[in-house]
Amino acid sequence: MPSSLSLLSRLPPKPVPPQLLNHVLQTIEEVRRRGLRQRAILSAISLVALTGYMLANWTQLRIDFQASSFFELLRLTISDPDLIIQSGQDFLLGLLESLPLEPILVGLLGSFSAIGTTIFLAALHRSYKTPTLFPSQ
Amino acid sequence: MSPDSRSDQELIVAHQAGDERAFARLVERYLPSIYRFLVRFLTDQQSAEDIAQETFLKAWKHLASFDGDRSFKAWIFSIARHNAIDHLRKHQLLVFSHSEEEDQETFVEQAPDPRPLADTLLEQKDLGELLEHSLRSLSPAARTVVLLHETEELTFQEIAEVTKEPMNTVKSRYRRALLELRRLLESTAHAPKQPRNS
Repeated sequence: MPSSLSLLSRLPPKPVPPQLLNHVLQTIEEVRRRGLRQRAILSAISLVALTGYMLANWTQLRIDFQASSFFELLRLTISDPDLIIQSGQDFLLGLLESLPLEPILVGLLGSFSAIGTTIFLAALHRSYKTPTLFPSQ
Repeated sequence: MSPDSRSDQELIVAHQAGDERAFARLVERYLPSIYRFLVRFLTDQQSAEDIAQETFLKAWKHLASFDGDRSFKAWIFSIARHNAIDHLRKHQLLVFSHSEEEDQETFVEQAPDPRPLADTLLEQKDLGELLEHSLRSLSPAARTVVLLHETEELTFQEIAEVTKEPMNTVKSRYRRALLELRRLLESTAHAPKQPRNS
């Protein structure tokens, strides 16, 4: 005699609505694109801001870079390596203190922003051309 | 899409390595059972579709940090159940009944009732509807355990992971749910039949 357990096999079937799979995948695809768009926009904004800052302060940044003794100290590694070996710790501290921080930071941040914007825009373009979650035709 | 023979763990590793289509395979694999569980749990097709979509979206967002040693099946059902209960709470459809209070009691072994079910019940043509109606009368916690074990074939261990409860609690709830289901079905079988309107 069937028990309560096998009775549950008599529950009416519940097939998945035909478009539900595509709908779920399309929703996830759209959320993914929205994330890429937001990151591309943020990268582009930071790139524009850093470029604007660099252009506005170009003269001062160039003076700071050229006036810094950082490159003079670096040349010592080629011209007087013995001096560096003798007073290595002082040399390193001097190198760090003379680092033209502002121009280097602005340059690095600008580069990262440019790379980031390029990567996110390329990914966004690819996702519109070939939706990521769907199999290729 | 043609069926993918890779295991859940292989698909998760592929997704974490950047293959977004691996996640689509997981959706294809689990959507039927997730949808089936939700539509029987919520008894509303539109809500089941919406919650199924929310479930897979949440899974996609968190899959990058998913621990591969865990059961993906238990994890995705855990998300689905959590979303379904949130939905019931939001729409004030969740009632704290005496059945819930019983769940707080100490575990007590209950033997299944050995008496066979009434023939009149087994022969009823609308048995499927009766079963659905009886399932709806169970508490959400009891309904969860019965549906996950009987229709979605999760083990008690997996159900314990889904509900984040000890396995003995899950087994106890399952036994009580079956007894209650049996009682509901038999009371329906013995109830006087209502005349049909022509």
